[in-house]
Amino acid sequence: MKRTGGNRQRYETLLRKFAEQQAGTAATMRAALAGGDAATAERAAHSLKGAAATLGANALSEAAARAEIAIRTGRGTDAAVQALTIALDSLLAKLSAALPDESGGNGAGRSDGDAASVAEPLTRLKRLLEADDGEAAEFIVDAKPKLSGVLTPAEIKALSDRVGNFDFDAALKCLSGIASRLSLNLEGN
Amino acid sequence: MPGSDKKLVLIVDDTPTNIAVVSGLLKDSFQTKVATNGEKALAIAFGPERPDLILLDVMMPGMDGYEVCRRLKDNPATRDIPVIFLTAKTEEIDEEKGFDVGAVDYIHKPFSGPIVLARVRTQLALQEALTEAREARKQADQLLHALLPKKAADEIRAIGTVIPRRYENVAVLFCDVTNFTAYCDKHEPEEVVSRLDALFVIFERIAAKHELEKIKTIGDGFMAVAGLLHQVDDPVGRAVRCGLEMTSTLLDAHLDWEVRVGVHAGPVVAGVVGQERYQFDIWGDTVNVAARMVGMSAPGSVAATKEIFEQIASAFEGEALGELNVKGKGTVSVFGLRARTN
Repeated sequence: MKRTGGNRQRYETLLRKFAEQQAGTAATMRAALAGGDAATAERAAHSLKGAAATLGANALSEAAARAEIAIRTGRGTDAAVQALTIALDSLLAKLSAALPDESGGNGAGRSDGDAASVAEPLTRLKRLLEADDGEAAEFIVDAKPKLSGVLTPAEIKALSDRVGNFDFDAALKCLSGIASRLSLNLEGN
Repeated sequence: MPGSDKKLVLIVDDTPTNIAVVSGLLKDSFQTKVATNGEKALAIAFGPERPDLILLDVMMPGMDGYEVCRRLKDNPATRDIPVIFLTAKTEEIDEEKGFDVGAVDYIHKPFSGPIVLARVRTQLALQEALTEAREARKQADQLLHALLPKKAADEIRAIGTVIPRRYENVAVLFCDVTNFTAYCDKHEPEEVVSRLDALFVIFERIAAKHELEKIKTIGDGFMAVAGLLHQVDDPVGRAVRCGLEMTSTLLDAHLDWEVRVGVHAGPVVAGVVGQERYQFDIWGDTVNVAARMVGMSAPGSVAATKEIFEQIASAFEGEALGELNVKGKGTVSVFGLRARTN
């Protein structure tokens, strides 16, 4: 948490993101290994090692490091991947139990608010995405409450997933679809 | 962002969690851009907003961080952007490779936020100091080139001094403006200087056209040489042609100025004297004779000794102007040279 500047909310958001992104990692690795693509499996283990270490999940990071070496050297791969899967599943289960549920609550499904009220935050988001500006990821988190009366929950999830994954090209496409449904011009001045 | 004077840091990592942590860490002090793969990182770095620093992951799908760094260093537009690797590839050999491809620093994951911040700040400060030093060096070079002939300036830059040398066959041209002193006494300083400056700029251009090198101006006199640092064929012919063009320079009639030129050729010694206000200069009998020729010159012609005239008689006509007693040479005949008309 110190690494994220001591901000609990930020840390929780990051943990949630991590859980989403890494949920399929073990399956990806096994599929890659079964298909003879050791490079992809090694890279997945390496990414998991780095991300887990960044968040302070040291045991998981170490299991991922062992899997990375096992895959590269071709020695003890199955056992190492198995151990990694267990460590990952255990952490994901703990996270899922510990983190407050984000979705639901506040009148999910209502999306008939005034479209003009989201023009300003969406225009700003578009500018940030076009500039590849790292601030976009925080901006969408802060802007969610404003968007929730106008955008559908599915739209908000799609948009914030893409922005949160820093896939800004996909996020821009998603944003353009939303703007067109709401007949909003996001060009600004 | 418009109006922002924060430094721009590009964060490149294929794992969103890492990007989120690093960008959260930097956001208060820097503007950030993010890329989740190498290709995108290069597109941003080569784009209109050049990052001031790049934090680069190594292992990414597609182009890896080493290759991204290599390409940045291969391109003059991005070569100077400091690259810090931020990676979970923590073996010594990985780190060595990172420095081999041009990184300025290598940070292992997991990292400490304050340490990443401190290292980013250090590299940015270093980069700023380097840019300032380069700019100062450029200004010093420009000044050196304005003060000294190019070859002498290059020698000073390379070895810190200009080695004095003797040159055997150099044509020396002296040119001065008659009635200048009287004009000077009667007119405003601004007018005097601006008119003389305009005339010397024309002389510089004429000298360059004939491949003469300007040595200096002394009061209302202008001195240039052919065949000193820059080897040319027919230095004497060039100096005389240059002198003739100078004497035919159009001057405002009311100025009552006339341009006189003297040329001589032979050995000279050249070097730099002084520590304050460098002066690249030439010395020797050749220089003295050239200076004395000016006094014998008639408007519209170039004065030279008979000996010089005979060297180039096929190209110029000569008119005897009188005799002059030259120390060490006795009495010499002086000729006013003009271009042959046939």
